[in-house]
Amino acid sequence: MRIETELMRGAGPVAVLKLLERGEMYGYELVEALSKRTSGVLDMGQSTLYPLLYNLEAKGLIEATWREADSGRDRKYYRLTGKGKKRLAADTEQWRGVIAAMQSLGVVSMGGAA
Amino acid sequence: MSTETERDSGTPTAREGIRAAITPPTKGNGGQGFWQLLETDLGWFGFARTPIRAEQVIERAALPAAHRVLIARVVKRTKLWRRERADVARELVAHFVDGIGAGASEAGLVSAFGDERRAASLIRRAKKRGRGVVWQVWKRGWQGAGCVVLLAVGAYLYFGLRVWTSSPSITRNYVAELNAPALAVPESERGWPLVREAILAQAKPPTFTDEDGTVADVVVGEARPGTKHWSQVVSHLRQSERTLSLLRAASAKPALARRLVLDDDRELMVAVHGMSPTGGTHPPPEYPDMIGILLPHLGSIRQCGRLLLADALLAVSESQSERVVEDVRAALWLGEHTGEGEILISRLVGLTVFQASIQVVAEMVAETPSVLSEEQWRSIAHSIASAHGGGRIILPLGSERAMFDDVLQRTFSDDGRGGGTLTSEGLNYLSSMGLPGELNLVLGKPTDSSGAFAPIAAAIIADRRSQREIFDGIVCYQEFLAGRPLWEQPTKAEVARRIDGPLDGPFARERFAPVGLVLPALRKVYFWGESVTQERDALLVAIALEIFHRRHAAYPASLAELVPALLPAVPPDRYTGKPLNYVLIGARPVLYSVGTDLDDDAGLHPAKSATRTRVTNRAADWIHPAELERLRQEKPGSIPDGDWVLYPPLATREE
Repeated sequence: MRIETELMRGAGPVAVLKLLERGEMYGYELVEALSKRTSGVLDMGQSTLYPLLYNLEAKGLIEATWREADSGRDRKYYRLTGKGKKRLAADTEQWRGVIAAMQSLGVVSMGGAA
Repeated sequence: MSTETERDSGTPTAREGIRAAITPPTKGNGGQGFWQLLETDLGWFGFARTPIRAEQVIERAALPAAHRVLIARVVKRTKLWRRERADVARELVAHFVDGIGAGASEAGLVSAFGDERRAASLIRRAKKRGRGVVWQVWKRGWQGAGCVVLLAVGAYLYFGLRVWTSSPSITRNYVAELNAPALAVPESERGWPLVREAILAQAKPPTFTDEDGTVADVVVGEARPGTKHWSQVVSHLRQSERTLSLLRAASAKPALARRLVLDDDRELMVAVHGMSPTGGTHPPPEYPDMIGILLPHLGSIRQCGRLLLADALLAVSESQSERVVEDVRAALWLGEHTGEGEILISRLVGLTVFQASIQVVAEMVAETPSVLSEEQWRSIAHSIASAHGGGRIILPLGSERAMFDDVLQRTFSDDGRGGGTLTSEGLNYLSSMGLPGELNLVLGKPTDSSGAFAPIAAAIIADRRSQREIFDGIVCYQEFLAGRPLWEQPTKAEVARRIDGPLDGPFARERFAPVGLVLPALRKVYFWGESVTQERDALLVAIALEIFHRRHAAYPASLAELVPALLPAVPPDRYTGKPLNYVLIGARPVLYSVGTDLDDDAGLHPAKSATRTRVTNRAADWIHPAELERLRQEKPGSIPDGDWVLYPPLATREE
């Protein structure tokens, strides 16, 4: 299932910040992780991911570093900044509120969609 | 499907494709802008860790041609700075290399990339968002300037369209409306033909000289018997007998009935005002401009009034009581009827003649009362009491309203509901009247005002409805003030807030230029009306005292004794609202108001001093009691210590 663009606009950044919470990741790794861990729901092409990463970087929520990987390839690694951690905490709280509200409306149940 | 060879080095075809895709269009110096000049192959100012060109990054990438072309197209479409493009290219290359390394198919990676146009657009937007503060400020500055220019152009076109496409709707002839009462008076009852003839007979002004032959500055009505130039004034009066006779005859008419005209009375204009006799007359326009009305007769009428009063003084000295009464009555008649039609300036000139008349009569009561019989004094008193409608002298503002309406109909369009916008014809009209300085700077000469600067003026000048609201607000408040006596007037600050406030804000004088054109200095007019009212009331009391003295061979102990036989009531002191003050000094009656300081000084006039030259202490010097106390503390000595002595008049008493 692919979600609507508007929903992705809200969910994408939080999802990326959440993935980076565990540690730094590079672009392709993020694409793969988003696809696999959300069963394709938050699957986003590079045309969406990289602008999203640049936006988060411009806002100071993540920072990037070029580094040579063990494989010898050049990769740009992204990691969460302090500001990004705060934003993630705030966004997480909001999402919980949204989900709770949706649950109370019966849009979603504890087990998933109603 | 790409081959391994292509992946390693790229085929010439693929390389050309990449070059074509990645190379920005050249112009001028080869597309080298300011920001690009700061970059070198080594990076910004030579500090770099990677190849700087996206093209090089893509060419060196071990990727299939399709991937490289895709990356090149995306990177080119971003239209970013060279370094940013290289960074994006490098990351996308890394992405595809990682994808291939992870076992993804070439086509699958291309498909998963998504819409390359959208990607380029989003990348560009995101990357620009990440640029430094200086660039952001520079960009915002340009955006701001662009918005301002756009808004300015939009506003210019909007106001231009309004001012150039609208036209005034002139539908009322206010001059005809004001003339209607005069035209309704039968010709046999009109005084103006006689006054006009009197003015024509007196066209040449007299010249008075000193003993050494130099021209002396003498005003006929202000010369008094026994003064230096009196004999010359007498000679002038003898030569003016025809004028005086005509004026006396006119005073027997019930109305002056002079029409408001533009310039159609050429004989008078030529004889009295020096207009060229060869100039052609113009047919009166269908809708004459009220502001353009000429009132050249006013100066002549003032001279006629002075002539009559001087002759009255001469008649007193010659004990010709009937002539005294006739002259005084004629002067009072002129003062009364000059203001017909309610044009404010005419009323003011009429009031000047009236004030001069009551001053001369007051001098007669004080100095030569026996010249007139009791009956004659009573007759003069009745004429004075009934002049200007009796009661308080209030100057009506009806004509000022009509004049403002006329300005509005010539300046603005009319939507039929009281609204309307400035028109280019109206702008020319206003400009020809003389506008506040800033607007004149914008408009330049009147002939330019409907041109390129018209939209700017249209943006500044408020619309028709706002003009009327401001004008009505001020005039209504003026009328409210005029309806209250002096002792009930609000503070100067409150008056200023209500009258000057609406025209005090930034550009307010320019925004409400039509209001400023018409609105006269009404506050001074009000105080003047109060002064004349008080002087007239005092004179009527003085005449009553004279008659009382004749009957009883003594003055009354109080003014109450004059009521009701000689006065309907004791008039008020206009400073306090209490009865007018009366005292006998040296067996002579003195009538006075407590004056500015509100303190009863027993009829003593303020003394002159080195620091205070103003000793008039009249209604025009009124200060609100609340402000009086503050002035006393802040500027001791600035308030004249004394009363406003009304009778006997200044000219007849010792200082």
